[in-house]
Amino acid sequence: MAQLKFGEFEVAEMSVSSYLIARSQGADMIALPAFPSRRLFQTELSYHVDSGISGPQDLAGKRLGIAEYQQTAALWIRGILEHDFGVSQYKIHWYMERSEEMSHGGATGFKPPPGISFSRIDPRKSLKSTLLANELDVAHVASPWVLQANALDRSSRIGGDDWSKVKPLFPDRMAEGARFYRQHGFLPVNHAYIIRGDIHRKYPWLAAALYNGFERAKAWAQERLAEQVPSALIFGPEYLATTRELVGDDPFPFGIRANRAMLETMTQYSHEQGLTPRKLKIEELFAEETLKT
Amino acid sequence: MAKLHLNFISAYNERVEPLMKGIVKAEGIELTPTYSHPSETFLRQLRDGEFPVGEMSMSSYLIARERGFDMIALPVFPSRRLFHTELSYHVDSGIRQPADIIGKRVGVSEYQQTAALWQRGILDHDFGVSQYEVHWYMERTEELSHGGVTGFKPPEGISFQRIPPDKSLASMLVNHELDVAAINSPWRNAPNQLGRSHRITAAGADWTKVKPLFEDRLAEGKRFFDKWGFLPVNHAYTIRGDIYRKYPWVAFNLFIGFVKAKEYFNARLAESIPSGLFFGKEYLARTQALFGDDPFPYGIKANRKLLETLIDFSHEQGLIGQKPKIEELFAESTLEL
Repeated sequence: MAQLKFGEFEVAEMSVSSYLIARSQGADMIALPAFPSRRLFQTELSYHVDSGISGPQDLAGKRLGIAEYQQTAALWIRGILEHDFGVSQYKIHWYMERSEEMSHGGATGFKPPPGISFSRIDPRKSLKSTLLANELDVAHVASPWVLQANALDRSSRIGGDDWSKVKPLFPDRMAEGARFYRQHGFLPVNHAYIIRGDIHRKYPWLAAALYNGFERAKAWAQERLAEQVPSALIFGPEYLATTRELVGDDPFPFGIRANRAMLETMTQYSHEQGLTPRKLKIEELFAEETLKT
Repeated sequence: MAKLHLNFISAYNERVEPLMKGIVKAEGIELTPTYSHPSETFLRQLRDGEFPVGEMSMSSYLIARERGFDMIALPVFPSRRLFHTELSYHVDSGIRQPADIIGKRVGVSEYQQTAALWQRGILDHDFGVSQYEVHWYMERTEELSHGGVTGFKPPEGISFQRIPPDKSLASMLVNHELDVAAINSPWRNAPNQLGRSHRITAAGADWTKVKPLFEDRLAEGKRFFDKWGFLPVNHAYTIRGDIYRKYPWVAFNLFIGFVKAKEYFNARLAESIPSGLFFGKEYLARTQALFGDDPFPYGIKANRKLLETLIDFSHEQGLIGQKPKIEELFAESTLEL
């Protein structure tokens, strides 16, 4: 958020969805095709058992809570529900937790896209508290079965701990992950790295140098991945092999070529979700020095 | 008042790390950590007792204590593995299953190491492979081995040879000069001064001819755990005798420190799984379904069966002459824990 508002850092991690929006509004920064994190965001959704939902196809007409409407996780959730499960974003009631002051949308001038049913969650409540009370039917929030999702925001403070009436929307996350990867050929990205415009113009060589650094850093980590798996899992090598069977040997490819299909999907989703006024071109989004990667 | 300062030698271990890093403390003690490969640690500790507190091989500890070495253990077992499932065989050996190891050449880093103790014991008790019907090959030299310090002689009736100094477990297995060894690739062993498989790697050789003895390690792990009720331990921590006699309170305080360090790590286990695994939580749930919530219990009570088995194996393998009582092996103040 601070990076969007103030550009404090010359080089920074950035939400890809917010980046698309910011660039469509003329923000002065340029991205590197280095994507440090990928997750299966749709599999991080949980639902309340009294909602009448039994699977993702049942979400039409339901209340779905997210930390921030324009965040990349929510972009993927909307796009995948719509394209893979036939649930139109216009038939869901969207609830956002972050306040206008403390949100990326606040910095990029977010307005709910026309035709979207949009509300904010009461500031005294959180994604977790509203889901547990069935004031939401579905939410993207950290749960006993999903470590990640949004561990920050208000759910860490406000909520309670009775998860007995809440279930994962995808009870078999690995099966859904494998399905997604088979169909799309990639795993969803949420962040990239950006260089502030003034720095990029002053040091045009920096983009390629940084990109190469990110590539080398990743290779270093990949080589050591097996030994980074806690010994408490006992079967680290087997689990790593299972992951590779499901999502390939390098689920974190960097560079334009290996990510073209994913980037086309993201720019497409962003445009069809009314977050960007047109479908942005990959060539305008990434530093020229990295376009051949 | 100043804390008691103790140098502390151990390998990196996730459930000990909070203590080594000083995130959790042992009351009254200031530890200065030395990170070290276990094979080097045990050589230094057995030969010279360099560190007042350190990691120790359980098998070598049993042997050393019988021979009067002056140290006392804490019932803290930082590492557990299914050692027998780490064995691989050369496909030209004719081996297809563990029982086929009879009459074959099996390589070990060190005959008396705890991993080899478990491998021999489990092959014998669970798969009918008598240790007397296997030809054993050891990689470490007499000068650079734990057995060299504790006076190792091959037990009577055992077929024992050393691997020539210009060869290694890795090179001999991949070239089918061994039939079985706990190595499955040229990079398996972390560099250390005692072993040779990281230096003599036979990296160009055909490693596709080396296959895991247990194709489904999860299934074998479940079978083992369901039958025996524990996961095999290889190391504990010991306090040097002079320090223990001078500061007997150190044993209990350190034990509590180890317990707190493990709890600290366990609370962060799920988030410490690299995101590159994607399904870390699912994998953790699988492991917990097989072995329960805490497969790394500390203390005597939770480990009595394991310790009895270790002592039985050590004795029937001719590594110790008499079975010690568990109570003689661990610091008195920790016996009820």
